[in-house]
Amino acid sequence: MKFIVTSSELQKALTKISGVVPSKSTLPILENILFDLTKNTLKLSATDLEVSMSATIEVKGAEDGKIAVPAKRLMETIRALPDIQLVFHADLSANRIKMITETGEYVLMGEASDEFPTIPQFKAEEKLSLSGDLLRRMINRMIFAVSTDELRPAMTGMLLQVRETELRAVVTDGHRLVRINYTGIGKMKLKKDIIVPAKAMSLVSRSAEEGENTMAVDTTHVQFTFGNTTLTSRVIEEAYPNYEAVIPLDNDKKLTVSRDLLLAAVRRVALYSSSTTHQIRCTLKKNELRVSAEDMDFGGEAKEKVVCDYSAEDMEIGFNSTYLIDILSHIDSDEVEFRLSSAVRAAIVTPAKQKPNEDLLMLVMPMRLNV
Amino acid sequence: MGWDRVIGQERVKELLRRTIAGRKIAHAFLFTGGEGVGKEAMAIEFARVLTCAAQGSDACGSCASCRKADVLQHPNIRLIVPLPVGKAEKAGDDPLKGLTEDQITAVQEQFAQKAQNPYHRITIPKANFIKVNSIRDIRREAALSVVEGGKRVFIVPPADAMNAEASNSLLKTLEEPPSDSVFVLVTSQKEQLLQTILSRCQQVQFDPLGEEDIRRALVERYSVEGDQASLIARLANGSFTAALELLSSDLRAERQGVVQFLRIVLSGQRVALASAIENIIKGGDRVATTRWLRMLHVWLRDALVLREHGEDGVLNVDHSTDLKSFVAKFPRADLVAAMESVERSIALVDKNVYLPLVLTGLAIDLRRSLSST
Repeated sequence: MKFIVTSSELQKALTKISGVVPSKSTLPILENILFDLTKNTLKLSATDLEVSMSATIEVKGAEDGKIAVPAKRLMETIRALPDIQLVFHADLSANRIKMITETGEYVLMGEASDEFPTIPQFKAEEKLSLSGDLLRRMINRMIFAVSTDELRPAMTGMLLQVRETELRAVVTDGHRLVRINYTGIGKMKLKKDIIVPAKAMSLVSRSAEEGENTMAVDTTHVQFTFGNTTLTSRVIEEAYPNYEAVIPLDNDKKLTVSRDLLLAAVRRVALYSSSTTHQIRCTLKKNELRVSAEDMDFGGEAKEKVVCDYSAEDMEIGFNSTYLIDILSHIDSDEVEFRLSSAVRAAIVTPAKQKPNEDLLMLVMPMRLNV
Repeated sequence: MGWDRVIGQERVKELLRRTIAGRKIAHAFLFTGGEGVGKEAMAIEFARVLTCAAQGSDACGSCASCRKADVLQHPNIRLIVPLPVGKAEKAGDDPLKGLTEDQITAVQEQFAQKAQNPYHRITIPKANFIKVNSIRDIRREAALSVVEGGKRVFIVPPADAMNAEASNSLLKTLEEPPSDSVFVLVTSQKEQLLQTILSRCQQVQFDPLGEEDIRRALVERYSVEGDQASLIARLANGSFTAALELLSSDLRAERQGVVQFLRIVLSGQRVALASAIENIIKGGDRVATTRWLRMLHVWLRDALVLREHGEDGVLNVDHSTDLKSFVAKFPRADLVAAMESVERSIALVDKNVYLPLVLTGLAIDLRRSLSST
């Protein structure tokens, strides 16, 4: 196997996919990057068995072949090289790799390509194109609420529901839930639900490129394509909890408040909340929201008043301040709207003004207040 | 062909082969039986057949899947072994996350050795039990779709190394078995497992290996000389792993130690006896002590054979001078009683009795039975 490539181009492609190479694994083969050359196209692949990424670059090919190259050493070498031409030569029978530059020669030992896990064969059942901006926005605003409880594996991923005219994304950890519905992304022929592991989604948000990206699904995998890079992930084969049942539709007490003001107030008051429960108390009166907390153990307490728009009857509701801070900091609108019903029922938080083609909803469970 | 990598155990092979042929594969198996009789080797072979692309009741040995399984690099075959607790490891972390570079290398090396020799006993420094995070990792993995098609096999050797937390976590998984997954729990101490886990596994009992099987395997695979192979096969007591350990240990020196011990016992030097015992137990290594006792057993047996039958059938052939002088000096030694006390001592070591006490007791018994006139 032999080809010529510039070091900067190789580095660019390697950087894109090296994120999936596991640093610690019982399978040493995973610490390699698979080089696969056909004519002038070099395909680089890496996998941690859950997520696989590959990137293609154009090179000047001389001799086709496949070999697994140790990722760490390769990356270090390429990074240390100036931007020059590089002759990559691999002796496939001995798994010996030689990289020759104008002045230097680097030899490293690779692994046979057939030991490398098969990169999943993918047969798309449905394909939709999404802008990189949308993907990034979607993931970054939801990923915080993904559960880490492996006893309920379904919730450790992001549910993507492909519907006729919309795409719905949902995450929840049982205490809070985020749902975003997107419309205006074309017409889909399939109705399909998949659960993508959180790890894959954060990689997608990191790799998504400007412009059009595509997402394709089949029964066992989901594949994202960004330019010449693809990311394929296994999906979680579990039933997602029926999230729609927990979203209350009849919350009639509406509270509109400035996001920044409330977030800052909650952050300050939360410093005085109990370190085990993180509980804060929200007291609602006409056009006034009081946020308060007290720490029984250390005897501290804090109160803040926030101006708001509220006209329903007075009420008190407790929240976990961490959850509230998470939610408020992931809504990007000046004003947020709370819809409440009673002190023991879920609260719905939405931006006061939704972005076009987007419907964002966050839900947070209250904490029961004593007294 | 493939099953040949496992020594003996024809009954179990046939059973598993039939299970596979009938495509009625339970979601969890429990392989039980003595140490080193090939439970793990069988589990790996079983996994290889289950993941083989040819889907037969034997692994084809030539598909990509088989080749990966051969070197234990198959993504669908997972070995869940005891691992050291990582630095600042929290519940839910990747079990390998907190380990140092050196520890990871040690783990990988052990796996590579296991791939080369399925009878290798995986020992990782500071790894005392199977962590609950390893079991959680199974759950995470099992929830995902299967990578390369076929079955996914989780091998848990030794299952008795799971701590309470890990056992309970595994139990949850066994209660709701993930699709396309097969668990193979391996243990030589079934009593240590939770009743509730036992009841959820199909149990497969392994027998101790025959001496002939071990002898042949030693000769064929490790080109050991016939005489030595017979001796080791006898000492190994039905365990191929023990046989391999014997092969790599300095047998001659250890057997010399046996003779030395008997001399001290019979001469009644108490101080020398104390230091000899100290030497044998090597700081409380029960496995080594058992092996040493077994050597003593074989030596006594040889003495008996020599006295009753003559030199034919003596295993410690290179010790025939010592044996002969022993028989000549103590013609009326009650060798059968002596062997019985050795057996009793082996049982006591197994039961975790304080080692110096066992050996001192043994020395007294031996002195009584051997020097009986």
